[in-house]
Amino acid sequence: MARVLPKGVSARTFETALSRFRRVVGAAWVFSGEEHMAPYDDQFAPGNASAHAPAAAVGPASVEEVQGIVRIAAETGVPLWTVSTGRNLAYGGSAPVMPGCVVLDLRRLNRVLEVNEDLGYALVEPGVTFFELHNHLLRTGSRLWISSPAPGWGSVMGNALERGFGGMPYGDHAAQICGMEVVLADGTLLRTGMGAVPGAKTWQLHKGGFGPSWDQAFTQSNFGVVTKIGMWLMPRPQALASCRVNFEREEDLAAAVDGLAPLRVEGVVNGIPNMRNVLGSAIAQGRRTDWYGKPGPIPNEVLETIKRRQNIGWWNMSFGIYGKSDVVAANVGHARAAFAKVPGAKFDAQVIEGDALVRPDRGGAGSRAGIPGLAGLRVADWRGGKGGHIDFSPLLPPRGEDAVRIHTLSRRIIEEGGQDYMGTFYNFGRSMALICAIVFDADNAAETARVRTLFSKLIKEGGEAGYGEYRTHITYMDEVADLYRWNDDALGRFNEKIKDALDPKGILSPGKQGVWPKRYRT
Amino acid sequence: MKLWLLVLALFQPPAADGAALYQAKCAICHDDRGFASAILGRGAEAGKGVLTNRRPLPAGYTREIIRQGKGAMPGFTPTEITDADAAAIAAWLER
Repeated sequence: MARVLPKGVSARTFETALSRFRRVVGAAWVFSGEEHMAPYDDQFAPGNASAHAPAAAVGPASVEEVQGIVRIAAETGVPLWTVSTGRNLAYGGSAPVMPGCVVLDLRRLNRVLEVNEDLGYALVEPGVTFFELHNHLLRTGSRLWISSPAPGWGSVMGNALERGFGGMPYGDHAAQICGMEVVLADGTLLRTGMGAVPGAKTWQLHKGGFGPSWDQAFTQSNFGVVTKIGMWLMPRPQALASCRVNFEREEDLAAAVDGLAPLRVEGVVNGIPNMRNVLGSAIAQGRRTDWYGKPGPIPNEVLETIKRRQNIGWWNMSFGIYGKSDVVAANVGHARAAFAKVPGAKFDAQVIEGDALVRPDRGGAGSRAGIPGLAGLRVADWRGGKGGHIDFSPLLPPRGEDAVRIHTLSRRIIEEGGQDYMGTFYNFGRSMALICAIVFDADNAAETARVRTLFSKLIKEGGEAGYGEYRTHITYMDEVADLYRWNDDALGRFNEKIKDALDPKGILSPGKQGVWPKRYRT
Repeated sequence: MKLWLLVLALFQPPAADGAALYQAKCAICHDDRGFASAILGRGAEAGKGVLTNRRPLPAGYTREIIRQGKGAMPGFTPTEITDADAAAIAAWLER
């Protein structure tokens, strides 16, 4: 891997910074050799990973060490790229937007600092993974559940900061954040919200505070380095109904989306539903060549074969209903009745109660019960070879007409680019996301180039239709930020003013979400 | 000289437990229910997709895959799996 130094930093200054980092964290935790740097690259990159290759990595083990590193970075001008565990796969992994940055790897800050059983929250450090928090709750006999995204080996904090989500009632992870500790670019340690009160009793209990609220300003952000985070956790419910609704035809999309929308707004369905198309469902069961061996998108007749053999629909909706047993039973009835009005819809619900919810199986309903897993990674094997994958993730209203519009646009562009269309809708209540997983062989240069072209087209045409992405791969952060230009880019200029005030040396994650410090703005 | 060796031995960190590390870091994908076992098992005889059933598994090769990744598997950073832990896992798989 070709590695370059960060823009504007001499080799001598860079070596001085690494040497000073070693004095802070110990020589064993500063990495620059190729063997150790390989996993910090974007291993599923759409193109040449060296375009985003970091030059080194540093792994502090305490808040004081983070402060020390940030101060050295400010003094030397060596830019950092902060990751919690670096498992932001499909969005760049550990790799920075700008090549040459030093990865500030917070994996060793991995303590569960507090779990409050009665009030349902945890205070954790950045390196705590979903597996680790889940195991901690199991060991301590907790009745609290975590919400995990598809791959459970990532950071609880990192995923919340990136606005990731899971399928449970607390599945909007950023919305569960309550109170942070943050190292600012000058090394100052800040506590947000009620945590600013010395001896605070409500740091993880009340999201506001006094004056402006800052927790959300540190999500998808390069304004500071978050070193502690409060996360609200869900008490184990009395009952869980694991529901599936299959829709026979592609044309059923609008009716399916419109059937679900009121159930979400009214709170009848309180988990976050997903709805996968044929390939979005089939991808978990095998490899592309099991179904189709030719290049180009899988044709409709093969999709029909997959449907028939797997006994699934063109659209396959799945959600949980959580709560007291009688309420869950009633709400399953309401959901069943709502979908009975959609021609061709097949509804099925499995209710789990009592001891079965204490230690549910890791597969199946387990993912709805706070059991993290890694089966979602199977997507990377769809084409075989090196499993490149990126996700196109536009947001839309939970209305049938919008769903049809973004689905049609996305399927057309992806298939024109020669790729398979794998679309999954997620309903957050007042909004939805369509996540299109674009899987390619990262060792195939021609295929990768096609993916890059079609991805830019998706961003552009999606934006022109009024749909902005909620998250994107590091390669496309500027392109997506360019969609958010209302009123002469008022938001972009606002972000830059705050960035320049908080980080005048421009050392924290330059270019993240398209926010560049003054020193790197052209 | 012997005394020197004894002192050195006493101050060596305890050898990492490869089996326990494998269970903690690898088994979720590579046990008999893991998705990686399903991938590795394609076209192989029953049970051969499970990493602990595959031979030979040279330690050097395993250490390389831990860092570099392979196919659908991403590599692991040295803060996630240290060099010592990677060596212990690799040695245990090679046994």
